[in-house]
Amino acid sequence: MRNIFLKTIYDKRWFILGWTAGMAFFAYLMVAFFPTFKPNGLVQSMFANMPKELQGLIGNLQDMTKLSTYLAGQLFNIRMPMFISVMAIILAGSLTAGEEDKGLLRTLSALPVSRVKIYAEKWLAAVVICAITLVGLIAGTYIGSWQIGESIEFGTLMTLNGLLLLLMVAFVSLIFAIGTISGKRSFTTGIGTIVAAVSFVLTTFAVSVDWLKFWDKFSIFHYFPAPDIARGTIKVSDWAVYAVVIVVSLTVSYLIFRRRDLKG
Amino acid sequence: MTNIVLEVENLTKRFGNNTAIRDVSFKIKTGEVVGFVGLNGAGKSTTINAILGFIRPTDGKIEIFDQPVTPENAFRGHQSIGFASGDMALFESLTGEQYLQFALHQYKVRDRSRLNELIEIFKPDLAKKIGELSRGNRQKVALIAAFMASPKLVVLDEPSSGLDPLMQQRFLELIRAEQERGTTIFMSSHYLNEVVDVCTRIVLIRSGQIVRDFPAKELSINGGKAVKVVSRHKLPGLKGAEDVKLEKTANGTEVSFIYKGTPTALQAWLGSLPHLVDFSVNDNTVEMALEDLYEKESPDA
Repeated sequence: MRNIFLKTIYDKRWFILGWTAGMAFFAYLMVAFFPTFKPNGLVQSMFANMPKELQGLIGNLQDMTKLSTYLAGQLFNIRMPMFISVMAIILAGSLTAGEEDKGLLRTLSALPVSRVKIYAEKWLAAVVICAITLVGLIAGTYIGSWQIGESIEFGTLMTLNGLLLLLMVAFVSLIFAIGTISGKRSFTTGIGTIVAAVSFVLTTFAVSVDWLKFWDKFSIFHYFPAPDIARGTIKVSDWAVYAVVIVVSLTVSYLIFRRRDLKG
Repeated sequence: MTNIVLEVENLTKRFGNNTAIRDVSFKIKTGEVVGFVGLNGAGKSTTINAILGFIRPTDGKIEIFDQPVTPENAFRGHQSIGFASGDMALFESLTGEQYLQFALHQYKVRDRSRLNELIEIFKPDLAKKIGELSRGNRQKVALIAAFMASPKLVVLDEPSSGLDPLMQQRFLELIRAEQERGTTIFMSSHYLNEVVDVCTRIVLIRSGQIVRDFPAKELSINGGKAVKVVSRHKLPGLKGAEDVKLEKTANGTEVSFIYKGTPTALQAWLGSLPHLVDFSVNDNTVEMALEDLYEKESPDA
């Protein structure tokens, strides 16, 4: 282990293995259920009889006809963002405030390593860990689709995973920022959980509740419209929002982190 | 280039309304081994944290090798500084060997010979994960990491806590050997005998302020007994009694002094006291001498 980046990856090896396997299995399960959900007469009549609010929660029935749009609505739309939020809170919280709480940040700082290097290498390791878990998600999707004999458009899957990675990195950067600014693990976890929970509520219910539509813009999940991406609509502004969240989080937190007192 | 390795000038650190250290100043020259002594909460660790750039001073300045220290640039000096503390957190998922290798890489040192020498001295269990090691073994790993890159300055905060007496002895031998190599050492310690044993100077801190800075040999104990006597009557004089102190207590007057005469004379003197309430005779230890010094000196004196 020559540097903090490799050491972090090594430290988190079981975390990476667990989350990658979990993502793969989850994706595999969702794909395996596709034939069951594929619209037939019974499902269509059940859906038609549901209240509008419930229909909004389930999604567009037309999306269930193709594997890519089904996955966009049922896997990528809300479930995966919530899944990765939990992962981001645990990962970024432990790498920042968690290590500081244990006194490990002080141990690292006692070595001839600058705070910018500590910060950058830990963040980079978190990004790589996110990317590795998404490889699990992609693998699970392909294994599932091979098993049920369905095909999925490579381009759509990659675009969905690309924006999901950007959402993950944005969320990780946000939690990373809170952790490096505050140095307090429970505070970091608490704020991260609030951001994820509020975003979940806003984005889920804004489909059915008109007055929530304005507030939905403040949800971090709002800019990951998976069903629209699967239908071929890609908005550059969504990618730009996450890029701005990443840049602002990293800039502000680094400027504070390099100057502040470390907990001992 | 001066021969001052570490200069602390009017260092003050406040945490909210609490002033942890105030106007702390001292200089350490090349090759000195300086003991930093004070009670818990006196400001030792805060001073050390500021010296290493873990915290930003509220006021004052710190220079190491003529370079000012701030949290932003402290890492530059760390190339020539080793650090270990008694409660040092180490990466529990790594083995001792992995941690030392990782730390050695950060110093950009490829030669393992010094590391191997230190492993030979402390004989830690490097194959086990640090999380599975005893406190003493973890402390050995931390001490090896502090010295393995042949630093010019070593800062130690309660370094030998957790070490068994044999390892404590080896640690003191290492400090002496490092001093001969010209390494400058700044160490805080609870074990005062250890400080007097290896340090050339002692800096005493009390309530966040330096109260005394003196050569360690001034504190060396020339034997003698610490005697305490409580009596309701005036006591006769005793030849060989030094540093006599009187204190009124509920049971009478407590007289304490260091006795350097013969045991027979002391025995005879004690026997001659008519209304003796209580007495004690103990070896005059370093701890007692420092305690005495600590009580005498106050930041306002």
